Amino acid sequence: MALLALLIVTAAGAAGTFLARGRAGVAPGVGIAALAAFVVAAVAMPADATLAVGAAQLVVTPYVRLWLIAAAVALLAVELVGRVRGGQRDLSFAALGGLGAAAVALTVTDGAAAVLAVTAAGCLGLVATLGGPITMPTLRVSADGLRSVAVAGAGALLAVAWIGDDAIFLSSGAVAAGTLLMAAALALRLGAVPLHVPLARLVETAHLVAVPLVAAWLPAAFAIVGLGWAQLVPAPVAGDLAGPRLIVALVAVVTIVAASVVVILDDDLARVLGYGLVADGGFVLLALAATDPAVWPAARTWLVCLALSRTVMALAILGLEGAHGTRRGRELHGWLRRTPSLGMALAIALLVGIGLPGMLPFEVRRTLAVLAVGEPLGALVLVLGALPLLPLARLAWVGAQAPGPAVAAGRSERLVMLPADETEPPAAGLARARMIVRRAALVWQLDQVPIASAVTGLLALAALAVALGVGGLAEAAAGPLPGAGPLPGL
Amino acid sequence: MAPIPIAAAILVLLGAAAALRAAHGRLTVVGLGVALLGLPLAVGGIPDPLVLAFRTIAVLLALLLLDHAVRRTTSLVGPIRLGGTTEVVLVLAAWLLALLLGSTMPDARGSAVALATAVALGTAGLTLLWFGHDTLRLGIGAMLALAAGATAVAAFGGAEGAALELALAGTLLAVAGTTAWLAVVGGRVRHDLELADRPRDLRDAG
Repeated sequence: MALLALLIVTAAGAAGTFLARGRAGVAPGVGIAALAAFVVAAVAMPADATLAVGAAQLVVTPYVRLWLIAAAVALLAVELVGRVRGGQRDLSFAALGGLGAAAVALTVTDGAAAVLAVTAAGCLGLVATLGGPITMPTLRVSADGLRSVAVAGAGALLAVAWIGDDAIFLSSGAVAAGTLLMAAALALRLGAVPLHVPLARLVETAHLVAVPLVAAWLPAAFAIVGLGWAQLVPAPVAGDLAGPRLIVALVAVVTIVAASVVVILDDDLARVLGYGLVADGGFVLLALAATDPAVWPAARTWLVCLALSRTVMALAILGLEGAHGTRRGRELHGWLRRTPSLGMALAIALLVGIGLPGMLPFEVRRTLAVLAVGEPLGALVLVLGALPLLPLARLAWVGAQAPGPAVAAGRSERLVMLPADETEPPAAGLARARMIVRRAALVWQLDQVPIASAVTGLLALAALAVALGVGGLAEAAAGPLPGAGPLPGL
Repeated sequence: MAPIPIAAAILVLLGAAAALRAAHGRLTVVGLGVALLGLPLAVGGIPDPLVLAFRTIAVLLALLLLDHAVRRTTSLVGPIRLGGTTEVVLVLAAWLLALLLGSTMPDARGSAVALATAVALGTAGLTLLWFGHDTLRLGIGAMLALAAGATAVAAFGGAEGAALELALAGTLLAVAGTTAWLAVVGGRVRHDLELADRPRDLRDAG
């Protein structure tokens, strides 16, 4: 029943945000409240909740519960920052629709239904890309996004149909073809080279507020479903999958290297984010190239880390753009002095997205790289995958210098002091309440930069806690497989 | 071969051909409707009435959303990249080839008509996704491709349970909703459904 309650909360929230979206006065409150309700429902849901749908079941696992909580908290933070910044009104609807469909996809025990549900989530998420000012380039990247989601969904569905629970064709060649088809679907959805253009353009063109949902969390949900299928694929009757694995490994390594090089060369922080996401997708693909079963929990752990890291990074870039009016590194001289909490958030994003030896993100990336391509190539891939540290180190260096024109003309994180008549509330009850509301609205308008920075900083700290093992991400990822159904004896 | 699946498959093919060939937006939507509503019968077997009713309602709602998008923007859509007829011939050829291959399937659980219909719909869907240059055909292509994928599950002998049917219904609605959103929002920018700066038609290339 707890899972049903979560789905009802999601449906009600999505309907409420859709109906309220035209009303500027209530829409922000409804969107934030609906996402907060989703967080509460996900936290309250037991880690073994079930729901029967015909012969299939929706089965919650600790990992799925953790994923849903992490995604909902991250998207709540994005919604808060988006509302503070203004200009994006459809995120809450898209986020609730996407999260609801993703919840079904990650829990349903029918593989084909899971692929369809996660494809529906991808489509609903695209609505977020249309929330800001609309231009033809925005429209085209949204349309390309729909094309990618549909083609990847159809490909994954065909792979599941081809090699399902009770497959007709179970030869070595048939399993290899199915694996390659699923790998191609994953590559398209995660933006692996050479299929990276739609994702990279989307991150560059769409409103940054939409990026965490559309380019990180929902592709991650797709990857969880795809990797879950790959983990359960029966061993071939004859031969092995060396050929397909070699192709997937090659694509993954080229993706990591090429995207990391682009990140070094580019100055636009949105492109750094976009190609960083492409490189992250390469590490996910490495899971399909390995034979050791240890890659599956590592990949699932990495999918949470990458989505959290990229969400924090997107919010930090959004904060920099809001405070200083630019997202180009060379124009941000002195940003670290004026907005230090965004600097802290960016540093944490790197720790969660790349990590240090001994930290969860670093170890899962190392596991994926080494198990997929072996030593010493795995170590080389790991080093090349850390290349995005260089442009961000350059950004930190630029930020520590004296403020340039953009930063000097921008806002700092210091709170605006309200006038004296706004700070002394009257004694009468109703007038006092009205004054508090008025002050809150004034602070919301005047202190956009500090509020956005505070929300980003809090999300960064939460992400760091997850990366340090709080919440048991590694244990949950090593636990029951999402969508695999109840374990024998339960 | 049973006559009902064959008749339904022909209906599905006619619907897909209309979606590919028609230059009127509402006719394209009607073609999609015919293809999606006839699909459960082409797969073979009588579906659970409750699930069938749910799926039918979802398809009708999806058609309503697309029709709304067409009425809010323009009823005229340009020809698909190769003109439409070429694509229809491709879809028919794919159906015939898959029917031939499906008849030689080693396992009795598979269905040749379902496989042929899935392949034909998949070809139509991917053709629209690849060659379509307007929002409407993009959405219709996505819906046909996903419906083809779901049909392939039954064609390869998989169990077509309630979860799959419900998920397909929900996904078709989600795709139609997103397409309608794209079309209506895009209509504010350029008042039609076109995505390219200028519709590209290879017949004019020479």
